[in-house]
Amino acid sequence: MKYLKTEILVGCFMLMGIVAAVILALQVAGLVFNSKTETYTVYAKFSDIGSLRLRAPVRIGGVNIGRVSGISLEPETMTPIVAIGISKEFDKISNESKASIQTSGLIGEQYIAITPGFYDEEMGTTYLKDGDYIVDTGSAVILEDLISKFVFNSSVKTGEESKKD
Amino acid sequence: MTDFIGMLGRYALRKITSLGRSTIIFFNSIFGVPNLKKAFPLLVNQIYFIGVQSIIIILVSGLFIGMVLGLQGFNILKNFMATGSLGTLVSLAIIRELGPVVSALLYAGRAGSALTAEIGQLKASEQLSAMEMMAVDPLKRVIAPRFWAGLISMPILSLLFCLIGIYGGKLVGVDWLGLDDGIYWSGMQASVDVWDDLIPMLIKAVSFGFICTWIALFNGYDCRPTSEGISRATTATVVQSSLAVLGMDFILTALMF
Amino acid sequence: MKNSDCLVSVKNVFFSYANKKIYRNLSMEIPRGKITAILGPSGTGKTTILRLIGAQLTPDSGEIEFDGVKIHSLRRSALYEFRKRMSMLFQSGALFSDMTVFENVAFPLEEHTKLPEELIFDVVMMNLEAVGMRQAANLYPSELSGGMSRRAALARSIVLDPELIMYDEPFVGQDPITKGVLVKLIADINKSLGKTSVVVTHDVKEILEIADYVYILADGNVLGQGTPLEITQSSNPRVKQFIEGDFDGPYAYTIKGSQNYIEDL
Repeated sequence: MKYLKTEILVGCFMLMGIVAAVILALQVAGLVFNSKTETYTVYAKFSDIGSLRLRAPVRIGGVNIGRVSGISLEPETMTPIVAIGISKEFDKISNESKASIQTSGLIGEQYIAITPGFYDEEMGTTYLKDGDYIVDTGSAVILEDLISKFVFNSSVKTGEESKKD
Repeated sequence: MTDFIGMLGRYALRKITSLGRSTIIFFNSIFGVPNLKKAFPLLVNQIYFIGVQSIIIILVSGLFIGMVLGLQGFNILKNFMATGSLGTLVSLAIIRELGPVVSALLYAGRAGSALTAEIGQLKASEQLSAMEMMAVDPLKRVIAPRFWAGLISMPILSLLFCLIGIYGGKLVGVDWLGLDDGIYWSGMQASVDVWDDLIPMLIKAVSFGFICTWIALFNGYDCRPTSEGISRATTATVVQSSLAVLGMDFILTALMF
Repeated sequence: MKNSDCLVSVKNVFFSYANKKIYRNLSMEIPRGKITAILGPSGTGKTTILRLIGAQLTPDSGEIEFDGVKIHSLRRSALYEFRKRMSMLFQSGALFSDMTVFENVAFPLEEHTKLPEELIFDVVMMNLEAVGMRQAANLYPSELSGGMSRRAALARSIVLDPELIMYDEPFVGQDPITKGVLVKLIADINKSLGKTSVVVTHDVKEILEIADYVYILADGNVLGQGTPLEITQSSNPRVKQFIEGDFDGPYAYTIKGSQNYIEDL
């Protein structure tokens, strides 16, 4: 029983380490345990994704509904395709919704904002489901382009125009 | 001139010999298959001496470093109307750099020097020789448990440092300077990633634990068995580990971030 | 002396340490079951010979055989097996300072045997009783006097029942009574347990009482050898000087190579 006190203290020490790791992961890094069954994936084509990164948030009206789960380039048309993982509980999103890449704050990180479209079965709209494409997209607003447009008043191709492609 | 080259050669030779000897010591102590029933209490005891007894200094320094970061960060970010990024600043600075590096430096000063002095003392009082003559390998009985204890303790100390540092930043930024609680945490959660930040932090911590413990144990094991030899070895431990940690930090940062 | 009677034989050993030649062609034999004393002035490397026998140091050339096996050519694991058959009583005692006397004595048993706790307790207590230290079993080494810690260390070094016990300066810094106790203990361990003993010392008077064979080392070689009687009656002036502790004699008391006194002034 000589090691008893030491053992208790070392046990506490190890426990503190584990607790610290868990708190850091959950509270600081905001780790959310998602399993695959909880999300469905839809795709959206953009002409320019700016500095959008993997795991960037996807929001409707500022509420997180999912994350960017993949970024790739369609080989034929050379347009970026973004895979969006949306939580299963948000399954009533019209396929007429609009996805646009926006920036939080002036220089903050970029995220995808989805503006819900109307839903009318008679008009042929459906809810988004796994594998669907969001047709209506708005590319990233690139600060440099905006500035040059403003300064030179030129018709540099901007995110706004590219949307019409 | 030839004298100088000869001196340089002798110096290099001596350093290479010392590196070789320390590698041999290292391998002998690591790859000895331990008797688990006997080794476990030894390991627990060493984690107590190396880890548990370093908690106070780690927690206090972590808290103060977090608070200073919160204060400085808040005042600077205020100029750019960007106090909302305080959480990001504090958490990234602490998790990526300050946490592992400062706790490793403190570890070298607190536990590393104590290890060197202890091993040196065992050597000077012939306890290591006595153990050898009793057919007990001091590398396995004395060095190995200390090495593993260092390797286990360092990441835990680092985690504790990071956690209390981040709460220290919150204490100043949120509770005293009036930043919104939600902004502090959400800025942090948006920018800190488990795989990109926390795991590299742990890799750094383990590497620093490895290098500091190794340096401390080798210096103790290889010191001249006199009071003067022990005090020199202790100094060498702190100097060498600090330099090794800072140098290694640069390499790891370049590799991982 | 026949070879089979020797537990340890040292053959033509050369050894130097830090550019200082300590042994030049040293040969000696340790008879089995006897007390062999190794005498010599300070600084002649008496302790070094014990470390060479224990293979903690390796000679530059020459061989040391323990029970017919060349101990320096053994692999590490085999060497450790051989070390279980020898033990050394260090000058300082070298008790583990973080353990009690009991734990110190139990340490070799716990490391090398699978005896149950109760049996270990009994064996340790018997050994402590043999050196008169049973009452001090629960003390820490820092609480012991010099003589007590040496006795405790002695109990520890005989606990594994080794064939060879090496004593490194057992009498240094002890008062006359303790010296007497230690001399008696060493003699008893040799007589009653039949263990081969090697005693390195420069306490001539004490050791000549109990030794069976004596080597005198000086200048890296054997200066004189023989039974205590032969040694005391030796006509070699340097042996005589050492045994009788004469101030004046062929063995200079000043360090060799020092400049002429007058010139220095």
